[in-house]
Amino acid sequence: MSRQEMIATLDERMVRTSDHFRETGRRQYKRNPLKSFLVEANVPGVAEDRDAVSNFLTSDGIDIPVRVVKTDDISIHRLFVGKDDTEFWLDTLDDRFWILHTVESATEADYVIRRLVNNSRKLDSIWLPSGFFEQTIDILGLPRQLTSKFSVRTGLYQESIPEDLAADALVMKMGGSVDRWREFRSTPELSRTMALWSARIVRRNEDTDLSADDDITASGKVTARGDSFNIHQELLTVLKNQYAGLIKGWERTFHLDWATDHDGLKPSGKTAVIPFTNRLGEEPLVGLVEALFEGGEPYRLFGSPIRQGPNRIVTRAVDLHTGGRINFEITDSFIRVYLFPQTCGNVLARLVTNLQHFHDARITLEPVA
Amino acid sequence: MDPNGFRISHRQLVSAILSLVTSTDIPGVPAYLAELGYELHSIELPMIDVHGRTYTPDLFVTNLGRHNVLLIDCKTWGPVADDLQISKYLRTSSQEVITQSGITPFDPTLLTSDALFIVMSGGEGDIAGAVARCNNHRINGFGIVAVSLTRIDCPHNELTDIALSRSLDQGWDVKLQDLPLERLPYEPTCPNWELADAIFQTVFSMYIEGIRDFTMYLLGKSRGRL
Repeated sequence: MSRQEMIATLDERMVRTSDHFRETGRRQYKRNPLKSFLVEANVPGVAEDRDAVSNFLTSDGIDIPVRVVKTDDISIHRLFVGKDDTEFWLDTLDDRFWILHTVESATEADYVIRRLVNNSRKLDSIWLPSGFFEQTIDILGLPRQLTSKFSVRTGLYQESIPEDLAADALVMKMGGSVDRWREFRSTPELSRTMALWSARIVRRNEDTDLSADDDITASGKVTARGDSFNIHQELLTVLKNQYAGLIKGWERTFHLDWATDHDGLKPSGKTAVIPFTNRLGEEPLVGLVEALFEGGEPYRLFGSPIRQGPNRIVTRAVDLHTGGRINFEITDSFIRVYLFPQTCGNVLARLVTNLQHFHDARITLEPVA
Repeated sequence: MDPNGFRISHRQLVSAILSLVTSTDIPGVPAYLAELGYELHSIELPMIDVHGRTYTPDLFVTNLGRHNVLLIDCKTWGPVADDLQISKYLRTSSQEVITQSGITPFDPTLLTSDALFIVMSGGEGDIAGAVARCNNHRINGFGIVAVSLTRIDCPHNELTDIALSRSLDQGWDVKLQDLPLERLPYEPTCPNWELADAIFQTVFSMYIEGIRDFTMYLLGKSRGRL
């Protein structure tokens, strides 16, 4: 088994599904589209140690049983997960940003990924903040359809919409033009709730006329249709690289540290500030703080909020993804984040993206002057 | 969460003043000292006065373009004046500052060193009394800065740098609670609940990382990194 065999297997699957659809106009029964998941991993030794992936995926910190089958390629593994042996290909060529591929049903894949990625330490989804997502679309291909989701608790990867939506929920699909999206988003009626959840993007090779037609969600699930796994893979690579640049750039900027020498202490790094568009009242402030630090999805932060005067709450929190420490000052006007030097920057993307989808779509992480 | 009144700690006040030298990270609130050309040299720089008595200013900031440095001491609540400590600041000359910090001014004879005592509003009188009781000042100038929840003023201003002196005479509009108050790690003078919270955070972090056994040394080593 090698990378080439993985590519051939998944390409054949895409082509067959595409041919069937073209010939019959229908999706083939039990022929699920390929789904790929971008995952941020903090697992040491993956690039050089052949056993690192299997040792990690079979360790105590993983929330679901995993059987790992090695291949001839150190960066390719086959995984059989859970009691149903749900099958995945795992690509760890980038030892920090992994890609999982599966042709299982969405229900099975979403369940497994949720347990494997979001309930296990050292693994996390990638999280695309709306502004970053919008900017990345044009690099990936041609947008066909954009979907907004706000205040909809469907789980990280599920696409279904619950029947009992919250009063301020918004679900909206529109034809693909980022400029038009931005125009809608800038209107006062929609600006608070119009957070970009998914984009359907077509990427085509003009020479071969092959294409991939991918649905990308803000939590890193990419559902592929079309007739070329290679083009789908191109899109994944570009998305992964763009995202890696975002996270590593944030880590360079926001990791706070101290240098100590005989001249005393010298600080480095900047605090990250997330301003609120409107001042929060007492009740929303407390509600937000409780949601942030209760330790559950989607924020995965745990800490004990401590009140310091009116409208100011300080929390020394722990990121349940890696155990990294991260401190917060939250006022009625902003959230200020203190990222410890070893804490994974993915926590910032998770925080901003989910605040956009559950608190206010206008949330941004301010670049500090 | 107990919505009681806010009472700033020493660590938080130093963090706030630090942000005025580096960046406040709040749109519209300038880092006043940075805008005047001051740069952070170090926190808790070991210093001596002309008698060789040691002390550690909370912040040491320099403005070599204007041939001036500031030895900054922050005081919060309660009895703030410590005659001995204040006399050490006031009896420090530029020579001690240069040798202790290792800075290279353009012309050492032109360098002026000022002491800046920063207190929570209401404590300025105590500091002024201690300054008055100290003779033989070797420092070039000094200022007593009073910090309230919404403003920073300088009721006693004998600073050498004219630009800084004028700026402080006008006062700085700063909402104290909005400044980054958590930049410095906790210190031995922190209240017990704060120490307990920080230690809990570190132990919980180690647990999530999979560390099941640790020594007090490891705990102490990893807890104060921010």
